[in-house]
Amino acid sequence: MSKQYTAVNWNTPDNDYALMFWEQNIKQFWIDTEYIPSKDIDSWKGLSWDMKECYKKALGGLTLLDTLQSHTGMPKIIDHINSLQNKAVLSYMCMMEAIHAKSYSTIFTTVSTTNEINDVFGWVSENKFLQYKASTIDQYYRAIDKETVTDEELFMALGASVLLESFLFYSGFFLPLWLCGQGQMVASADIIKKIIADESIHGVFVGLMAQEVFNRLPNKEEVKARFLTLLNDLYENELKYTEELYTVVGLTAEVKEYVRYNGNKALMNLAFEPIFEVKQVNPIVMNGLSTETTQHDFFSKKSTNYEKATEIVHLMHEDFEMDATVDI
Amino acid sequence: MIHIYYDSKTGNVDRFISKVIQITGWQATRIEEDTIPSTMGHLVTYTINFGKVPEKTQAFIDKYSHMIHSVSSSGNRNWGRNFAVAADKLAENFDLPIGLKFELSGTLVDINEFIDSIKNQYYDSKRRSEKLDIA
Repeated sequence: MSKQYTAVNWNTPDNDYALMFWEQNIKQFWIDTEYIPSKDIDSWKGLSWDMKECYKKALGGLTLLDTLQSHTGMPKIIDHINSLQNKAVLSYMCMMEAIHAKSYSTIFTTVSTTNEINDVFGWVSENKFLQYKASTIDQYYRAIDKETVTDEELFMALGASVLLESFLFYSGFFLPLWLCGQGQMVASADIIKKIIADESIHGVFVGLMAQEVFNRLPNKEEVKARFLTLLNDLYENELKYTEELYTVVGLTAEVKEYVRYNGNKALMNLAFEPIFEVKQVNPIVMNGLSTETTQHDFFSKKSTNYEKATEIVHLMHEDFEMDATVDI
Repeated sequence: MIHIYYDSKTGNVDRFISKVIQITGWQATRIEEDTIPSTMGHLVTYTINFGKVPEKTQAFIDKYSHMIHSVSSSGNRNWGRNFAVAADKLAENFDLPIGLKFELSGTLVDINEFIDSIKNQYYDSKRRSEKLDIA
């Protein structure tokens, strides 16, 4: 008997969350070209050389993570998720990861020269901490690159994905948010905030599936310990990456605190207890997340905000009176 | 005995409440479509869909707002100004004080803050007491 192929039937819900995530994802849809980072050119010119380097590298690192997630993470996971509706949500998220990865280039192209951009991508390929981050996560994705996988392997892949989405991005997100929180590079930050909103629901969704797999494991404590070892390993690497990237602009301590804060949130997405002690996250970064901005027109662009038109000419009754002197 | 009515979708509020109960021994009821509150209590919910109140929560409070002392919400600061905004909306619409806005399933600091605010500020409080609004 040959394999029976099943078509996705959205009329009958697979579970109580797939449709909700599908709809939320669709509402969040955006593309990079709806945004205009060119508004940031003046702001960019005002940044120090060190700050520009740090910004480009931060975005380069983020590009690597989104590339990994869209090319490997999501596709491998889709293979081993049973619910066809969940698979559909994952494939949508996969597509958004590709848009995220491209959107950093939209910012680069606006503020940097081709030579500079090539240097950044060269740096990404060479940086040992970024490479370690990518190869560590990739190892768990590759482990499920086969016909049948154990629940433990699947949980570790899903857990690694949540770590990527909810934890590892934030050493990179810090800088654009921190700048935006004080009014710099705000148009580019609009793009970054759209990515953060997407990654937030990705982490919750993949986290829910990870919890389902975790709950059917016979050796929960053992697997949880293995997962926490992975988290700590990546955390140590994040600290080193943060030092390399941010020491020159004097933000290392703040970034590390933000990394820990997001580590706790990644754990919560997996229904685990937070383990990091966090005192206070840099308020400028929180301000960056809350700042409602910036670019908007009513026809072609999206914004994080509703912007009210200020130059209004009211339509009057007279506007509809025909001018009889004009030949029709 | 302090009573909590809560709504949960992804399990975050559920876990938050479990930890609160573990520490305090308070009673909690998860809101379902047919939930009828038997005693006055505090409402804890979550925020979805760019700052909306969940439907089940909305239906519950529309009917039973007179049974509610305070409202709290889970959320995520990644949503900026929409963070846990369900609590703000319910507080405004039903003239109730906010207990706490917290992220996801809450840290230990959040849980203690919530217990503290419910225990010390709301217990035996009369509804619509604006002085209790700590948000």
